[in-house]
Amino acid sequence: MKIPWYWLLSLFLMVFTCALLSAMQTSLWFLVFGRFPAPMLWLVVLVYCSVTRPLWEAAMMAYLLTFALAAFTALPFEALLIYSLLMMLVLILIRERVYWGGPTFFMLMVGVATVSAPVLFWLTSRWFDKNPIFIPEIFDWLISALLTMLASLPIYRLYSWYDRVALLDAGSEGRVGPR
Amino acid sequence: MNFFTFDIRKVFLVITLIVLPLIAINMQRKSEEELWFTRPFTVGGAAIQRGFASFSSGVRGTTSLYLDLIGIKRQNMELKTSLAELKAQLGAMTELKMENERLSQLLGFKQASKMNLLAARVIGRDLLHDHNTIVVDRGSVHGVQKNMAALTIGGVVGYTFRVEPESSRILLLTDRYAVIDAIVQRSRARGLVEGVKSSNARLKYLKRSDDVRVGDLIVTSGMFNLFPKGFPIGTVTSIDKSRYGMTQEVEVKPAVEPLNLEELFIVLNANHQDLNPSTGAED
Repeated sequence: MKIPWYWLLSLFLMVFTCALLSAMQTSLWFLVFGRFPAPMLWLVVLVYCSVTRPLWEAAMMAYLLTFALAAFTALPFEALLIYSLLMMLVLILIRERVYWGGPTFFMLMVGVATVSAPVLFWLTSRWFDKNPIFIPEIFDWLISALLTMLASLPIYRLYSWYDRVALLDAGSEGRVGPR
Repeated sequence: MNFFTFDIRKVFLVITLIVLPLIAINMQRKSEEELWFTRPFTVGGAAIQRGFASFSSGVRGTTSLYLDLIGIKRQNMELKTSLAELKAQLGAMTELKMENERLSQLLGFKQASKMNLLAARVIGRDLLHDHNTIVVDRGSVHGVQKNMAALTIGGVVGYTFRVEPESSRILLLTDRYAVIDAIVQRSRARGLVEGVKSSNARLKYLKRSDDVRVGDLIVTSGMFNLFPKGFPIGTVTSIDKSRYGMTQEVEVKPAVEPLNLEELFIVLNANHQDLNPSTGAED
């Protein structure tokens, strides 16, 4: 059996960059901008995997990304995994009905993800936590959602480049979409 | 030609040549007096001179300004650069001064306390908005362990919940997962402080009959020697006493804004320090 080295390299680069972006969001942004809400860079990576990968690969990426992300939050791994998988499912459901590829579609999906994020968090919190989210901090979410959409384009370009390096044609977008 | 026959023009010329210098000499001798017939010329001449001087000065000024433009531009750029450097230096100095003041306060606090404290710098926060945790630059190699208290001069910050060799994650008292054993300083009523969201916490499991009022100070109980006893957690902002419940819930505003901190202390050993005024202040 031939080992898909390029594909493995792509996986590694994606997870590594996700950890790097998360560290940037939690540390660099905090030290420079203080309490001002940071863009959810990790969410952009999750959206990219959900939008450009087939279901099995997206699910696998959700697991790998959750391993990397759990180090940066107090949320337990299980809750974060459920949240990531739910988010991935929502995005794949949309992708299976509406899909045209490219950065515009990607940014739109990031917008959907940032809007649905607090709802999913609230739901998972109600499900998991003894002391669930009382009132989501809406203002922070709004600012963060706007910044996330702005940051999504360069991250999309970077990940598309990874896909090209891994010889996945057209950013692997050719493999997904409505049948 | 008759001796008495004169050429009137020559006579006039001779007289003029003789008289005019005489008049001039006469005028010179009385130079302090301005003659009436010279006055209009003096005034007019002075006005014209002033006009020329002004014109000349304007032309010279404009010319020199134009000629100096290159120099001025270069000088302006140099000054701007210097100003920017000075501003940056001033900013850095102000920052250093503030940091120095903060660290001096922390040092004073550490020296005055009998607790074994470890100073730490905040280097990060949580990935998710709904969780209030911070990361500090001290870990297990510095003696930090799980569930050690984190505090600052103003009050309780939280406690460590994940310790790495070179860093630790602190669960702030405002996080939903944080629970700290607490008492109402005035009435000694006991409960648990749980986080709600980034700006407030809640004191739970107080008995319905417990005496608690808005403005009361909530302090640590000192249980398990994690926190010093009587260290401020926050103040009561509202009380929710349901009609039929056995307990009451109290909203608490934290004594410190944990997310604004830059430095804090991790309590390696509280040494049973008691800060309650009733037991004799700091023992």
